[in-house]
Amino acid sequence: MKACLLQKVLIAPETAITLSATEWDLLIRQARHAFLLARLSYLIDKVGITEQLSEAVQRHLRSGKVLSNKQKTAVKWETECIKKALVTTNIKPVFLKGGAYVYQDLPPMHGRIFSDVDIMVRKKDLELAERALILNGWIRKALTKYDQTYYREWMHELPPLISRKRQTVLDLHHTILPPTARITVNTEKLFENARECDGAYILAPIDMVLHSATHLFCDGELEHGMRDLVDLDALFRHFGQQETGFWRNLIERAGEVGLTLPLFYAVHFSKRLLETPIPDDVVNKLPVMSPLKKKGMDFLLSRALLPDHVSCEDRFTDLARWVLYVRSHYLRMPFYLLVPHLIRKAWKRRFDSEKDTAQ
Amino acid sequence: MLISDLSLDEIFQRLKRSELRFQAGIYTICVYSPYKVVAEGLKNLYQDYHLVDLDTFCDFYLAVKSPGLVRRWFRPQVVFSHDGFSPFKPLPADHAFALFEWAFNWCVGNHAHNFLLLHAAVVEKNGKALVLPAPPGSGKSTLSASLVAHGWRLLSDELTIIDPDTLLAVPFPRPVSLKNYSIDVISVRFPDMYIGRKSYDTTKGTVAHMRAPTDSVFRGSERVPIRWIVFPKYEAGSETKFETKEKGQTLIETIENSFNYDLLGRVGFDVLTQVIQDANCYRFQYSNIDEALQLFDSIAEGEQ
Amino acid sequence: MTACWGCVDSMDVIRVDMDGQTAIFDQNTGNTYVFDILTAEILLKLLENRLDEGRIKQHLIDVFQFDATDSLDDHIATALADLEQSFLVHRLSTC
Repeated sequence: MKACLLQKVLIAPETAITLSATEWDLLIRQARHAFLLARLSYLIDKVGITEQLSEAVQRHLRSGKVLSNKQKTAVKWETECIKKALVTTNIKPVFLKGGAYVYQDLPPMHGRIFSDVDIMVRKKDLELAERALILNGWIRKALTKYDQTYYREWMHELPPLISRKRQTVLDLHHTILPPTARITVNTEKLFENARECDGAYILAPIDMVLHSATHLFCDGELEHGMRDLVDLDALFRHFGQQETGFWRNLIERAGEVGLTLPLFYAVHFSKRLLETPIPDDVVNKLPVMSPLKKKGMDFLLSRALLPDHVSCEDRFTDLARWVLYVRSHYLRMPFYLLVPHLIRKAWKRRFDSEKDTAQ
Repeated sequence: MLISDLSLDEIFQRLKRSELRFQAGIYTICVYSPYKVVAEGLKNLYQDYHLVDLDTFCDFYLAVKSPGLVRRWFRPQVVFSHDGFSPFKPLPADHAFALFEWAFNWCVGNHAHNFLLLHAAVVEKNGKALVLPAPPGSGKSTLSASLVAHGWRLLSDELTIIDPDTLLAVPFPRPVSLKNYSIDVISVRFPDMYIGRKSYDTTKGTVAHMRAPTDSVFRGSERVPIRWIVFPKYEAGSETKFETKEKGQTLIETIENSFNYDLLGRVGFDVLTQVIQDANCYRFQYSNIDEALQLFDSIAEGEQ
Repeated sequence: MTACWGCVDSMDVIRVDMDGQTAIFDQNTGNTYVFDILTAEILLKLLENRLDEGRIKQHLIDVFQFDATDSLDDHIATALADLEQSFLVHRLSTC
């Protein structure tokens, strides 16, 4: 599977100066489909070549940047509002993923496109936290009875909350994977190591990487695959340099919390697709996966992690995405629930009434 | 080379091969469609637009196509996609060209956040721009079409594009969209202006498009400062009334008529407050087009 | 007249005066407000100084050269009432 243009530029942004008009045309389209236009803009700014590009290219890069900057401000404010809402309960939330990156000014936040804000509290605090949030202007998202059942009874998760005033979505978790998932996480250990920061918590660096890996490889539907991989790559690079003992303790910690498998995928694909500089002794110390399974996941993920754009596809891409889609649900729920759930999702998508009418 | 240099069949062939690329203002677009009605619309309404080579950078890849095999033939529908992404529900195939026009506006409205975008018409005279923000039903399309037919240069009938670095209005000349009664009003009052095919029973009623004057298309790179912001309201039988509008109120109402003010944050605030400070702001009520045109002419002259 | 979109949420605001009115931009929420200049002055002083009518009054006398008369008290009262009630509750709860 040959590398797509976006991949090459993410690895070496300075090479973008040599791109022709047609290549820039393709690059921007791939980036947009991968939710990475703003990230591309940030990287191009960082290597100092923006001003040398054509006006047309600069326009699009700048447009992406505007969107990302707005979201960053919004997420930052959201974290403040969440803290304020919970302050009387004495519950200090753990900010996860995008919220954590913005809260702590971590490298993945640059040029990132955010969707929801995710926070984690201990299971015993869940109800109190939800009540405090509702008292402070969040409401439960209007869900069908099926969706309510899905979240509460099957996934043992709370449905998302929406801020009435800001229309932002908040996901309140008590663990990083649904309790029904086939991987068991030692969540208590994650809480124990979480670092306090100004009235809230974020996961410790290794745990943050493990969570990002888990979310990408064992939890989501891969619609933001490349973006999540870019997050991982940025986290590896940042903590690899800044955090003492990061590489030394990485594998052991993954074992402690039960997340060795996602770490394996993270190391393997981050290196393979984005040339993340991961020390050889870390790579070599990871447990070996069965060659057949490895080959299968390579086949699937090296396609599904690329931007969802026609220029990055081959004849197996659709199949790969579908298999991983089914897998992502299989990993989350018991088999007897899986098939009816997938059928229902397919039906809803087919008769999608959520799209707008054109002007 | 202009679109007028191609025959209808050549346009149609290029459309089908995804090789029809042309420039509108600063934007370059590549269009795909298997529908002849789109080719006809382009032939009749985009004759003055420059074609662009296949190896240039294209801002938007726009397709107007069938949503699926069944709907290609049975109660045919069309759907638009921007580089593979379809944000809207399908429409009857008869509306294919109207859909193209809306789609092109959508592309800019959703991907041009380097600019501040207003839902407003903008025209120019004597090197200064007149911006007409107006929600639906205010008579903006009749008024802006009339101003253009009367000799004002068209920058846009739908999308006022403001460059935050210079505060200038950026032209995006396109066919002027007309709805319902305004189609008849314009065709009677300005018989020399070409109006294209009507699409009936759209969500906005009957829709047609007036060809942009050649001058407006050729001068699509001339940016101008905004001198007047006027909120029009058509009221049948009313007198022509023209009053100064408070700048604070203008700010709030312009924000309400903006596509992306909330995305631009501080930049949007700085740009809009400065533009409004530098402009004369009015509210305008009318029922008689000729009086309206006279009034705007005198304002334009008064600025000399 | 006041054209207002709800209470100001944060302390991070910038202002622009435009012909007798003041536009205020809240940098954290992206909300924009327009008030008449006097109400805006009161609002901004409230944001800076918490709820302290005495100092607001002095500021208005100094800046606008108002007489320290009862009508100024009325004006302040009206302006405060004009501001969204929830704003005052919001600010009070964080004092």
